[in-house]
Amino acid sequence: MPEHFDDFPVLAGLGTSLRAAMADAEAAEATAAVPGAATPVDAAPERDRHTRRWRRGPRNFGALSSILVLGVVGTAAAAATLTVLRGSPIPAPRAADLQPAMTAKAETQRVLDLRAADPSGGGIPPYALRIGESQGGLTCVTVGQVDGDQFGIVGTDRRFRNLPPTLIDGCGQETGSGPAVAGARVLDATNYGDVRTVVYGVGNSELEAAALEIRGVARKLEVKDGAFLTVVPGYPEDSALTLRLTYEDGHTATHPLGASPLTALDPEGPAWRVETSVGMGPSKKGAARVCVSVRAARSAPKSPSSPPACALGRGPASGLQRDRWFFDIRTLGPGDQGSFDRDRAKWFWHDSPARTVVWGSVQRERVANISVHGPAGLVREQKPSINGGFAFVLDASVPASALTVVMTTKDGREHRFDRPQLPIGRIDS
Amino acid sequence: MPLTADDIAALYDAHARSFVAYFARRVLDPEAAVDLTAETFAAAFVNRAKFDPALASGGDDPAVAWLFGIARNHVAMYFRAGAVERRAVAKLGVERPELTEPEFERIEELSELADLRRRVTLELDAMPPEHADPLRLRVVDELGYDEIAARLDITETTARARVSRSLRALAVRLEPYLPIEEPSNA
Repeated sequence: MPEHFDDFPVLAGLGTSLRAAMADAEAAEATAAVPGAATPVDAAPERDRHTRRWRRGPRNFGALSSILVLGVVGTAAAAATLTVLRGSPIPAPRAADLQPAMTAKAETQRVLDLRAADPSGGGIPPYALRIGESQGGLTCVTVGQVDGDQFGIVGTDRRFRNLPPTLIDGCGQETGSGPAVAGARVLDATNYGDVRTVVYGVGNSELEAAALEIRGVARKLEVKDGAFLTVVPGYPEDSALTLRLTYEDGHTATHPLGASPLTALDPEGPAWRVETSVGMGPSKKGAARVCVSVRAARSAPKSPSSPPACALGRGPASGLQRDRWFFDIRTLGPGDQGSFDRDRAKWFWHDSPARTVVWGSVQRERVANISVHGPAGLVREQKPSINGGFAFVLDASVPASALTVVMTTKDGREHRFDRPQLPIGRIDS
Repeated sequence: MPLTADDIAALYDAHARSFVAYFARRVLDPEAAVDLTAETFAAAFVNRAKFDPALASGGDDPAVAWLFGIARNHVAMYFRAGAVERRAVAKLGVERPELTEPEFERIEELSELADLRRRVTLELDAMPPEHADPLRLRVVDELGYDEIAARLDITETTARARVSRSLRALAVRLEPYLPIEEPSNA
C-alpha cells in the first residue's frame, strides 16, 4: 500500500483496488491475445462478465432514490454469481447526523422472519426487515435483503453490502390507531425495469389484515407478529399503490402510498403527473390563462410532456378558471412536438410510446366526478383533484374519436362530450 | 508508447491528492470528489491506448495534462447528470472505500471548502431578491422551471432566463476565489 497515503486511508484503499483491477485487466488482455486462448468475454474477470450481462437498452427514468446510495436490484442474474460478489460494508451514518430518538441501539437489532421474493423470480436475495429500538424508545426499521445470514442490500454494481446496525430507515411509535412504522421504500435503479418499491409495516400488535392495492387490484399481505412486507416493480405512483389495514377492533386505515388525483396511471409504464400553471392570457390586459399539461411523474432527460390545454381565468390575476371545465383529447406519439407563446415555450413527446390522453381542469366546487367512456363502456374515472386538474392516459389503440368524456356535476346531472372542450382553442402549433 | 498499468498507478500515487482537492473545489462534495478521482484514473487506464504525448498540452508532464483533460470532462458530466459517471470504475471492478469522518474533514480542509461555502453564501445574500430567489429555488430546492415559474408568478421562459443570468452573475462574483490553474506535477 502506498506510503504517501498513510494519512488518507480512502486514497490508499482506492489505489490498492485500482492497482489490482488494472493488473487483472492487463492479464486478461494478455491471455486473450494468445492464439487459441479463450475469448475476451470468457477470459474476463468475474466482475467484468457480470457487468456485460447487466447492460441493457436504456430507459433511464431519473434518479429519485431515497436514502444514500442503497438502491438497485439486478434481474436475471445467476444466484451463485450474485452472492459471490460482495462489496465493502456500507458505513454507518456519522454521529453528528443522528438524533438520539432515531439512533438505533445496535444490540436490539434483529431481522424478522418475513421474506418477500423479488418479482423477477431470479437469484435475487429476498427482501427482509430489521427492527430494533432507538435510544428514545421508538421502534426502528430498516429495509434490506438477506444473503445467507447477512443483512444488507444489493447495489447498482450487483454487489451485496452489509448494512450497519445504526443505519435505519425510520422510527415510530405504535399508537392505538396505527402501526409504529409503515410505508414504501423505493429502491431506484439505472434501468426502469429494475426499480422496486418495498411496502412494509412493523409494530402493529392489533393488526388483523393488510392488503395492498396495485393498479386497483387488492393483494392480501401476510401479517406476522404485527409486521408485513411485499415488493412491487416500479415506483409507488406507477401502480397507484394503496395500503389498507384492518385492525382487531374492526376499524380500517387507508394509506395512499402512490395514488393521487394529480398523478395518472399509464397503461403499462411509469406514471404521469398533472401540472397546472397560470400565465398571461392572450392579451396583456386580459384575463389570466389557466393551463394544464401532462408530464412524466418523475423528471429525467427527454421526459415526455403534452401540449397545454388552456382556458381563461376569472380575471387578470386570478388562477381560478372561468369555465366549469375545459379539456383536450389527443393521441400523442413518438416525435410529436410543438410550440406556443410565440415559440418561446415548447412541448415534446420525445420517443415515449403513443398514448391517447384526456387532460384538463374542472371547477371542483361544481363537478363531482370526471369519467371517460370508450366503445365498451367506462374506461377510467376520478373525483376532482385539489386544484381541479385531471388526466387520463390510455393506450393509443383507443382513438381519441372513440372516447366520450362525462362531467357529473354536483346536482347529479351528466354532461357528455365527444370532442375537446377548449373555449380559447388550442394554443400550440 | 502507450501507458501501462504501472504508469497509471505511479501517476495515481503522485497526484491523487491533487485530484481530490481539484474535484472538491468544483463539486463542493468530498464524496463526489473521491468518486470522480476513482473514475478519472479508471478511465485513464481504460483509454490508455488513446494517450498521445504530442497532443497533450500544458504543464511539464503530458500524462498529467491528459489526466486533467479527463478530469475536466468528468466534472462537466457531473454537472450535467447530477451524479458521478461510474462507467470505467464499474468496468474494471474498482472498489471505492468509504470516507471516514476525519477524511471527510481533511478533504474539506485540503480544498478550502469551508471558505468557499462562506463566500457563496455571502454573494448569494448580496444579490437582489429577483436574482437570488430563482437561483435558490433551482439550485437549493431543486425545483423544475415550471414550479419556479408558478411560485414566482412568472413564465417558465422568464424563470429559465433569470436562473441563467443569476448563475452567470454568481460565477463572475466567485471567480476571484476559485482556482483557475490546475495543480502541477511538482
